[in-house]
Amino acid sequence: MYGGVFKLYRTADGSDHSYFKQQCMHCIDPGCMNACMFGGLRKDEATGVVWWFGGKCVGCRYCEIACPFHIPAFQWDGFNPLIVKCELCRDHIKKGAKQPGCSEVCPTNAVIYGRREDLLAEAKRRIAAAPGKYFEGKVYGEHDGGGTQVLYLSRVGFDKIGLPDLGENSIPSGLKYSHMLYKWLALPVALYAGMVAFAGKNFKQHTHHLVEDQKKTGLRPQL
Amino acid sequence: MTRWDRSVPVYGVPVITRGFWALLALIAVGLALTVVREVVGLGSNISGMSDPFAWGLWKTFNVMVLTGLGSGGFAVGIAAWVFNNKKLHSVMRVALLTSFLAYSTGLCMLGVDVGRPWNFYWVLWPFSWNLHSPLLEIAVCMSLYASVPLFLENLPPLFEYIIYEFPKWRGVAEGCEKAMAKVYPFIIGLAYILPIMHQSSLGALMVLGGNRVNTLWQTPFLPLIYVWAAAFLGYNCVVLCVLLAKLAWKRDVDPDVLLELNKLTVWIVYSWTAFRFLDILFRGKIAHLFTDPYALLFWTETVLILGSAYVLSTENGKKLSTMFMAHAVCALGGMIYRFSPTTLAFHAKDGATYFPSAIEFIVSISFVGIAVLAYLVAVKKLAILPGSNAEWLKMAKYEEQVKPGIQLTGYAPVEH
Repeated sequence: MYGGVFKLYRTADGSDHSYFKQQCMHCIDPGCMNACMFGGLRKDEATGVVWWFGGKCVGCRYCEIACPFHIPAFQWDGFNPLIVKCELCRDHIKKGAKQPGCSEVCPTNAVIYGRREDLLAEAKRRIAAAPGKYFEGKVYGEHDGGGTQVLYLSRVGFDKIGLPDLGENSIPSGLKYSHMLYKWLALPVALYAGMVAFAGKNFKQHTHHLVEDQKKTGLRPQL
Repeated sequence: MTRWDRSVPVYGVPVITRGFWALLALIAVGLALTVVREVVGLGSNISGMSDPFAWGLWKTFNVMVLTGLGSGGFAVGIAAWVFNNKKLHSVMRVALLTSFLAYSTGLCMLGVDVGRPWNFYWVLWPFSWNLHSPLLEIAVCMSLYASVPLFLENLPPLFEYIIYEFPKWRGVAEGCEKAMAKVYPFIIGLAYILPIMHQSSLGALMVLGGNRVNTLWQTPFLPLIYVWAAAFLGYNCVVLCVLLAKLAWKRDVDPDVLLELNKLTVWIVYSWTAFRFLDILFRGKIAHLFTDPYALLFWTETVLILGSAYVLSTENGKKLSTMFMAHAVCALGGMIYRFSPTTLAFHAKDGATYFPSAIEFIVSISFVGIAVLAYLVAVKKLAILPGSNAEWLKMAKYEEQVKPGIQLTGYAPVEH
């Protein structure tokens, strides 16, 4: 159920194929983290790694809705489900490992690890060294979805290897208008005050009518 | 022509009927299944959900759709109390009760749906809130709304019940009533602002779905469109409730109030539909209305909702049978609309599909059953459904025969 990290893209007639590694992109502005109610998903301050903290996770699975890369995986079976995702071997690095397992064991430098600016420079160097080799001569993740910390070069189209066309805006930026409305809670408080003022005036009038009605009918007024 | 002057209990009919037992059995089965679900999880033997389709029937139907239908409490309330539409006070109690039942069962269902409910206590600790999360806004606002203002608004019928049935406690109940009257505008203000906030946040949820939500639905204005839809769904629900009461217990109807609700429904639907089309136009997606594979779904919603509103606006819409059908179809359209961004028009992943499992259906329906059962008991025991003063007098005469000693008329306020 955890998806398998390594996947194969192959055309129907088998004329073209490409392996790819599907993993958390560790977005600069992650949708999952923005979605999470109590901070069950967090971004490591030093490395920017997006990691899961079970003590604050309610298991609502909103992170799965908010992730365009289909990364957070929920354990559907069992009474104590966890959210499972790539944390770039955060635990190993904490214990002193130099890099995550995937890049450490990769013999061909297809997966490399480092600071984002170094990786970006290396990607651009590879593109320049082999013009026409990479799809659109583009580094996926430089700007896509507001920029990601995991970057991809691909020979086949990005959509073929599970990297959707997101444009340059991050997923959470879709909510910027909503956030404006909630700024300082000013608008909700103003609306509340306005409604209380009108309701208060009308309530007085209404109770007055109720008392009048009671005099006429002898029936107990109802609110 | 009847005039609805006050709320009158449904009298002369038994509370415990065959339907009562049937609902109870359904609820028992549903609750037993939730126990199973808690033990074995949400896997494929329990639900049809999967990682691409992480949200299913329980969230979309029991929370998004039913709290939409349960929006009468604020939709009718704002019209009555803020805009001083006096006719609508008569249906307030129906609106408030349906809202409370929809919200409370929806929140319980949410507790069953989430995987790690024991961590929900963080909602009480504001320092752990992620203020950017629309779901946080819903979690806080919905629970606060259901447990404070909406709960308090539903107390007056209970106080009244105590006053009539337990004369010993009359003083206490009247004291509570008076205290409530002092702060009532502040309570109802809260009862309107909170739903406006969380009903719109239900739409904001799917903004984070990005382009997996079909472009005909996905817009930064999704929150506004959601809360707007809640308004007409709330009116639909209230009208259907009072018309069903006529069908079931031959309650009289006040055409004036119903026509007022029709008028509001029509204008809300017209403006809502216009806004949706303008939004699509300004986003430059007008061609999608004709070429998109999901366009048929969009037109289905539009025809159901707009068509029934049009019928309500015609002379024919004043006939109770037509009115009933129109509100039912309008509600159906609105319910489909609330299913679209999360499920029907949600392209989760190539090849991924979702269809609720039998267990999901049964549990979902059983939670609706809880609300229906509570509603049926409440309208027979408490003064919820609107009626005339004459109806109240008839009820009083009947009750005085059945329960000698009870006095439901000739009331004089007690001096404290």
